Amino acid sequence: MEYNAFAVAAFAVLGAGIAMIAGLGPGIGQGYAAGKGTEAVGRQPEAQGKITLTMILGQAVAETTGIYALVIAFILIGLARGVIG
Amino acid sequence: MDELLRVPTVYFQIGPIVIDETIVSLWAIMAIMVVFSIILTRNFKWLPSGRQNLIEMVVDGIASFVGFIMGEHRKGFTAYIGTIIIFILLANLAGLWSFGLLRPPTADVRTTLALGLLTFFGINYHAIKAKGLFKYLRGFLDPFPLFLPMNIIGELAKPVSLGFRLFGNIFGGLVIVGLVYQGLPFLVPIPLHLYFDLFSGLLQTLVFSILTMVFFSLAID
Repeated sequence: MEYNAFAVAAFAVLGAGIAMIAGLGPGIGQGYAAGKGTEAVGRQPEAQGKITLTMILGQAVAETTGIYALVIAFILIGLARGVIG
Repeated sequence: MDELLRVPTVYFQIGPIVIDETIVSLWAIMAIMVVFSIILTRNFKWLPSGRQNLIEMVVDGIASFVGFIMGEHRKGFTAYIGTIIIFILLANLAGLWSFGLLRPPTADVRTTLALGLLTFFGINYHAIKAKGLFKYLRGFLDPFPLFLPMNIIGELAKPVSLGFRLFGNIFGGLVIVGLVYQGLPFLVPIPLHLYFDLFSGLLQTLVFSILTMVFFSLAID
């Protein structure tokens, strides 16, 4: 089979786009955390500082998978650029 | 596309030492931090006024933030955490305070992974110091020995996820704003700068410092 640099680059870029579907997960997770945080503040307005910090911490950890997807997308784009030259 | 996803421009190279945009931005931030900490902390009086009031307010704010998260008895971490906060804040907002001259050094994996490694070594140093070497090593066998590889991977994932979180957010913001500049260069990018530079930069500084403090607290307990 013939090696086709443009096909490799095209599929790498396509893969980068597909990898970013992982953005769904952190979006849902962070939204859920924000919703629960709002509920908690509504129930206990005096604990707002602590709730906000805990929420941001949880959201930061939930974001990790999305960041991994981003890194993989960058690697694939770098591969595509390397193949085309 | 080449302009957007570019690696930092290399200015010049002496043998294996490469001087590029990230290094120059870091030099600027280092110079600012060193010069300002020398100038602003000279001639402190017992009765504060003006400039000293401002400095004491900032230090007090960071100290109470550290006390809020790590507990009042661990306010000694204020020096380290405060330095990290000021550095990352200056780095994330580098494009803003230099009026676009400098590229944010945190939009480079090398900077953020180095920061992640700092936290990693800090965690292990404080864990060994607080628990002793034997108890620290035995902690990897919790809750039972089968978890050893899991615990080691979990420990190694901390600096990687810390570093890539900061890098991904800042670099992602840079790329998105750059894309908008190519498509709609008039007025539209201004509110985006507000979100991607100011808000995201502040939030990621907060996230990095909170996670560092939580990891340190967990390591000591």
